Amino acid sequence: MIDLQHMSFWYKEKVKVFDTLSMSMEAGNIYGLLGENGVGKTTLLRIMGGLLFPKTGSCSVMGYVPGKRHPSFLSKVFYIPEEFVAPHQKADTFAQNIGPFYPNFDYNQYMVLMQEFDVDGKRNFNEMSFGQKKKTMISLALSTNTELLLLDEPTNGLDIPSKTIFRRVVARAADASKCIVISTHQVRDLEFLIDPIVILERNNLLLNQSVAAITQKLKFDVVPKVPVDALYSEEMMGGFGVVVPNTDGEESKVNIELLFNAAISNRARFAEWFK
Amino acid sequence: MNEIFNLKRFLMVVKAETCSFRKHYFFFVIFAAAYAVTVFLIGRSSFKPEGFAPLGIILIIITPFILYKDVYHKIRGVNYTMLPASNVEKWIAFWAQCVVFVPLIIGASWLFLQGLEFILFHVPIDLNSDWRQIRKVIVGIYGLQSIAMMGVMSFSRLKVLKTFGFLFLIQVITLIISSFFVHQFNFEDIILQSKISNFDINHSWWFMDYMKAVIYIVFPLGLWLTSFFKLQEQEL
Repeated sequence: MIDLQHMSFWYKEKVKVFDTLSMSMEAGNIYGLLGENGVGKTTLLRIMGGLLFPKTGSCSVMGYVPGKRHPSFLSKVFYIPEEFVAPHQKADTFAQNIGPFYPNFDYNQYMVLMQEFDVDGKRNFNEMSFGQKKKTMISLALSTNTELLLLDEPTNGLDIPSKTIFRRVVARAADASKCIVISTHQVRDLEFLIDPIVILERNNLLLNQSVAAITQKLKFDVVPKVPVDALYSEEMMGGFGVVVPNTDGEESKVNIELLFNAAISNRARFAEWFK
Repeated sequence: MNEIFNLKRFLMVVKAETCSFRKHYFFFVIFAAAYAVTVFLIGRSSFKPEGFAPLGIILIIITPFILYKDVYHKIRGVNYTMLPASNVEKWIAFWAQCVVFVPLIIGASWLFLQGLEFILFHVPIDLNSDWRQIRKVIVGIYGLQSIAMMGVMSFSRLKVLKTFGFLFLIQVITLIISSFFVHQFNFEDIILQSKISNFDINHSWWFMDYMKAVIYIVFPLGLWLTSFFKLQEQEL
């Protein structure tokens, strides 16, 4: 679905955002794109969507060069940026105008999703709160049924019930033909949704693995005392949350926050383990 | 071919854009009405449609900045750039909005004022206008508007400021080049002689005709073309 080969990108040549980054993403997955502030999560999504062009190397999405912005490519991709300015029109009118550009757009599905999120589509965008606008855009994005969905911090601005609905509707929308990439800092909101997990580090990729592959090599636990071989530990209710090498093959539930902190504090070991 | 131009998709772009610009169009009409009411309240004898014409012309020239100010804005421009239509379709829609739709609305408003003037104050509509002059004005409007169109598509931020800066730069370069030619080919003598012999350089010199053609045709066409190429290479 997405194939990046030795891709470099920079806004200023001396400060590279990506330096010969190579990675791939497959259909049928909901990728969680994680990384510290400024590592280039949004930039990567924008490159995949054709809003930014790689400086060197290549980026291929469904066989297209995104930067060419071919209509057939754009009709297979929907991108929701973290911040957006909605047009001065009714949400339903906007959906009716934009939807037909996408061959698999389903207006009924849009209406159902709007109902599920409890947003009145007859209202003008400028009468809506940021969260309501976001829910409208999520409803529109999902009802276009595009093969690639790029979501930048989709749960920012959503209230707690809406986050639950978001997880439900995204999980429902995911199928073998679709690839959903979610960039987020709110890992707890999406803990049970995202798989594989992609962690970006400055200039490159630190991890791009399925949850199964991660739990095969790492174990996540809450223990009263920090073990000596712990890759990362932090104090939490009931003891210490720890990430340790999985030596006994026992399966555990991934704690993405612990994984992320373990990854950025053990870059070399992670790079070696998850080549 | 479907990737370059598809009529159905093009019409959808026009429909989507017209729908999102409807408030601007409404503003143009309100602007004409406000002008008419203000002028009437001041003079109480006329709507002075002739006074509306220069204001309408300015509106037409700056239309690209009004309608497409958000194109290539990092946040506001995403919807436009990600819209599944080809650059050709987007550009023709952009051209149609600026060069056809808005001038039609402004022109219709002006005609409406003329009609109102005729009905209420019995001022006849002047049909014996100098068409040569009108043609010059129209070409001038589109020439200036094409600079705005190029500016809108070339700059992602500070579009107006950068476009005027670009214009200023072009004027300085033109001044330098033309003064070089005047000195190099002794044009000063020709101009001096033409003044002595009462020779109308504007109507008699073939070079001027070429220059006019460049200014009136090649210049706007070139800038339209530039705006198209800029449309496809912008990043945000």
